[in-house]
Amino acid sequence: MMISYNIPEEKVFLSGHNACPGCGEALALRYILNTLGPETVGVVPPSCIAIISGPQPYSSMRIPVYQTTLEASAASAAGIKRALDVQGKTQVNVVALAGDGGTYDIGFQALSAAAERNEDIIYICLDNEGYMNTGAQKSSATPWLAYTTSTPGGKPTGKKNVAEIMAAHEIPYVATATVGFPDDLTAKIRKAKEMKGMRFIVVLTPCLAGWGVPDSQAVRVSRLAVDTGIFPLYEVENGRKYTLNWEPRGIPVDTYLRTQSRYKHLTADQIEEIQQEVNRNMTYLREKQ
Amino acid sequence: MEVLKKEIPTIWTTGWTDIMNTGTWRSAMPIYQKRKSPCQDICPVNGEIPTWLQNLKSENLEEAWLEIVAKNPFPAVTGRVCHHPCESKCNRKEYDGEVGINSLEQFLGDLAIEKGWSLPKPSQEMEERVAVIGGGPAGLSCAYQLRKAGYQVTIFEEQPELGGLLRFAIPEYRLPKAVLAKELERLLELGFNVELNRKIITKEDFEQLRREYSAVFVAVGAYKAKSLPQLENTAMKVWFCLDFLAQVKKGEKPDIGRKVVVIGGGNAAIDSARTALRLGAKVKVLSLEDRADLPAINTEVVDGEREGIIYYHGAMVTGVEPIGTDSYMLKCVKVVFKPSDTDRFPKTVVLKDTEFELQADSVILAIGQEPDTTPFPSELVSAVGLLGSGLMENQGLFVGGDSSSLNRYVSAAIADGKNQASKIIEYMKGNKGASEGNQNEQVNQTVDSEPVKFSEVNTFYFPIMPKVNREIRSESNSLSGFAEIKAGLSQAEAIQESSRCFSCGHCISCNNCFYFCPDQAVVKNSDLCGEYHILEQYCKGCGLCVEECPRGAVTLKEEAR
Amino acid sequence: MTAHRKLLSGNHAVSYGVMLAKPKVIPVYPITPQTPILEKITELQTAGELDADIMTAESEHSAMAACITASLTGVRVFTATASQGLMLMHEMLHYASGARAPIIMANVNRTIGSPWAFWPDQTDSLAQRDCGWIQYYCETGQESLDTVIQAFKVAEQVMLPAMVIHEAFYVSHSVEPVEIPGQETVDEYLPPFTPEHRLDPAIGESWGNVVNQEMYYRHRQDMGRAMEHVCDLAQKADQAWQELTGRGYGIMEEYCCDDAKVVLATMGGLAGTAREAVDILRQKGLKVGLLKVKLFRPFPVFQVRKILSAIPKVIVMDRNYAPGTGGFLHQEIKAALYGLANSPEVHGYLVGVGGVNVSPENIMDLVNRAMAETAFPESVWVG
Repeated sequence: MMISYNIPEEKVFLSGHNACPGCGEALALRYILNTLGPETVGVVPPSCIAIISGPQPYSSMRIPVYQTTLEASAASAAGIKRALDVQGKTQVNVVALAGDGGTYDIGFQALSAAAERNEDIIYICLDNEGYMNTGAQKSSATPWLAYTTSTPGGKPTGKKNVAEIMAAHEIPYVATATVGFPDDLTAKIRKAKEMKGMRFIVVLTPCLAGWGVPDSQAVRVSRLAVDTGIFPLYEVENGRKYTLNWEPRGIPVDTYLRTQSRYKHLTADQIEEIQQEVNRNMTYLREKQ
Repeated sequence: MEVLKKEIPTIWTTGWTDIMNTGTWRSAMPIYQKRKSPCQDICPVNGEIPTWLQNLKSENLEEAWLEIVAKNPFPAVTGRVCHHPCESKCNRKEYDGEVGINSLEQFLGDLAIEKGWSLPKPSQEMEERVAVIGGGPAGLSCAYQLRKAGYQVTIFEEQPELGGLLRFAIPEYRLPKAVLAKELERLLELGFNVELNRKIITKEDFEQLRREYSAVFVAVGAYKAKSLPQLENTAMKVWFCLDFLAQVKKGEKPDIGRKVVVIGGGNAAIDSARTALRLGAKVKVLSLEDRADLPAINTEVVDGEREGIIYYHGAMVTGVEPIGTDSYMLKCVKVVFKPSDTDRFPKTVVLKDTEFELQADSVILAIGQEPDTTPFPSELVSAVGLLGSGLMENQGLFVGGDSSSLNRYVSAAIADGKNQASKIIEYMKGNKGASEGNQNEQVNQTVDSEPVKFSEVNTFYFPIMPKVNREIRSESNSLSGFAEIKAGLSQAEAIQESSRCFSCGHCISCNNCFYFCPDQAVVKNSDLCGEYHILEQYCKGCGLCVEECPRGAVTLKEEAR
Repeated sequence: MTAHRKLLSGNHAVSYGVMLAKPKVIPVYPITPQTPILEKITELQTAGELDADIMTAESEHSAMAACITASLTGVRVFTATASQGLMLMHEMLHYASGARAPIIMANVNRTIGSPWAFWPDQTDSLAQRDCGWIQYYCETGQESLDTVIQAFKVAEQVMLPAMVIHEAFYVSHSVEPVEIPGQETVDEYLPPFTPEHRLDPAIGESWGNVVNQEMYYRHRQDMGRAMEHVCDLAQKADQAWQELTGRGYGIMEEYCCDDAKVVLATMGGLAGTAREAVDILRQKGLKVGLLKVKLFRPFPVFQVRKILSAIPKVIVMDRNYAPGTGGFLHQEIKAALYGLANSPEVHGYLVGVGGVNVSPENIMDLVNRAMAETAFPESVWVG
């Protein structure tokens, strides 16, 4: 049997947007918005997503989108949802679409608070592991040793595990997803859509320019991230119930790292250390199931 | 104050980006292309293998079968005896084992017999008559293609029954007579004039036919056995393989003794050896060719070994000496030999101090056959003693099969018959001076010449899945008689095995190109199932669709701007 | 309920005003001395007297972020803050006015750190004067209550946010009898908020896309045009309110200015003390008046020029201070009067900065001092 996709889509995300050719984030937006459907209001902070959403007076998203400040996505989304609810428009989804900078870093306070209040919103972090829109600076989502323009010698510290932190808030739903697994991603969006309360999904979206990846490789790279165990696909319900959605095929991390020029300076020892770390993380994750 | 509110909308967004023309960013454009799969590329009959495998997978079984019989009227036969080069070229071979195309062909062939499916009837009736001389695979294949196109065909066969080598040589355990009979019966339902026991003996005979028919196709096979001078002056029993195999097929039991040496490395040698095993003999096979160069089908060689044949590759007989009254000692030596398709007498180099001896009660010779060219014009005979293809086509005389080629496989003969039929049709249309719609199958041909490479297959989409093999009946049973050795696949097995096909270069509407376009520039054509097109207004030329096509059916083409 | 009187602190008076204006979403974060506003609102909500969704944000920044989106989604929104909280909101204040979100926010003036202090000082809100918000400065709890309702009316007409400001403790915690208007009165005065443009899938419009230079220019121009209407609209809103309740404040209050030789100009709670000083000085025969600036943004330049044109001396008292420029009101009044023929001499005195108590006697001393000296161009520290 072969792996194939059957994704019901409603065209909410439009063509003609300003994403770079082959952009992983644009692909993620397609799956997310087309799955959420037109009964949705979006919140977008400064990020590539804001660029992709279109220059005034054009939008690539056929839903109302509010562009907020970098740190305020979760609070802004909460404001919309509450205002919709008091008007009786309770069926409308409110989705925040933020980058990793706006989530892991500057937006984390508002995000954590929204989670604590169990705001009835879907918060999606499109994680390209750095401030890519400003020219590839490190964020707390940037992995250990990755080159960015603010860590030219490689990032000295590791990537913040945002999914685990959000799971610790014991919100109804936390999931990881990526564009290489569109059926998994859309299934998670559908599942989140059916739930109430705070839902958080972090979607790994390779940045071609920022990672040093050819235009056609976003999907392949994202799949390798999963199949090496670097970015496992899983979900956590109510902070307790862990489900690993895809058993990594055990591809060595080296295969993934070699697809990206941001890792080209790595030594064999460093790669081995990353491998060991990934192995430990996978063991830890499996134990939680 | 309403006026004030009306001024506000400068900041509200009311338009959509789908009016933008992001296609102008592009420097390359993806194109959908039906490309050659390596299996089809190597298939002698140019079988649309990926297409019928997909039909089989989707359980469109009759459609799958019809796709095969468009090019080959005998899938139940070839599903058993084809040397299936398709499998050795299969891209999946480099991954988790080739797709068992041959066994799937057998499955569909057998199913068609069971269900009584019919070959497509001629869509029109033509006046021209064509004579096909030889009722073996090449002749029948040619006759079939001509009849399909509506021509009136007379088949001349010197034997009392049609089938050629299929009937008289290939052993029962590989090809049961009943299977052949059913496929022949079905073929004949298309309406042929068949003249059995009719051998074209003289040149005059032949010229008579040429006058009566618009075109003549000669595929008389190669029945003139080559002999081995080293064995000529001995009382030892020496069988020519075809005679031996024919006798056994008739149900006779030739007295070959207890120890048999078969000389030769082709399929006839292995067939003879395994047949001799079944007559109770201990069998050794001596071939000039090295193991890797054996012309015989590899699985046959392996199966023979499993059954007890002892092989001596890269060796030849230099002489023979009697031992007592009924047995002989063959003097042998190791050699280096490189077979050649073009050289009638390839060079053999004897290796020094490698002499050895083999005891034998009898020898079966399977070192090649030549056609009997007596009745045919001398211009038609090539330097290597074969009927030369293309020599007299402008005079309506076409040749094919073993009588014109050293590429002596059943499928090659069927292919030859099919290809010559195309030429004959072209010739006859040319004679009429009109082209009545191009029925040439080349229409469906692929655009580029290189078949899809394994590196172009995106193996992520194909989880590891071992090949389903035809079950081999247990040894004791198989050697005790001539019952067919391999059991055909069940339908469930066949469908499972067909699902392993990468469908190289053949779009199967998997929708990957559609789903992986960040610009939603790939559109499914709702009216043309299984087709996509690219919206040039939006496509940025990233190549994701090319990368994520599991089977190399989308390629990027540079655009000059 | 019909209009009734109640003993209320200034902050609680605000809460009642909020209740009557019926906002639907109230994102709020506690900070001294604003907290009683929040507490009373949640109390009224829990008691079923206020039908609003209260979002207890983790920061003023998030509170304001949620205010903006809730407002853009088409509902009436209120919040309250003070001091550091207002400082933290700064980015979102600009964002709110740019978004043309008619949010009403109460700000309780409190010193801003460092160093830490809790005293009445208007620098917090005055430092936000350029954020595109309408600013009202109130003298009493009653005025704050009335102004909250008026502010909604004005803000929702021009689609700009407004701050209703009073000072810490002097106003926020002083308990006085306050008349709470009847709900029907307020409903008659304040129509429901139904913006034509809002975040609604049924409409599909988005807000906040990146604009080009010309669009930005035009957008700022539009904000300015809206602001230009505020003085007039605020005046009318106040008149309408006066007709309904008998209470009006104007956008500025002239007290005994007609024949005045000296006019005291100030804002907020200090106006009450100044009024007392004026009365005493008038009894002593000194022709002193008071100009209480209630609407500070937009600054009513036209009205200020009109009122002060024939006045020889103006004494501006600032309970606020911007290092390098001085008292905010001092600067604003000087600028407003610039180029006026017969422009008064404008004395600027920094009084009550940091919450220092200013008595009527202090004010009388200031008047005497001003009479005796020529005005300095800069604000002068006194006391």
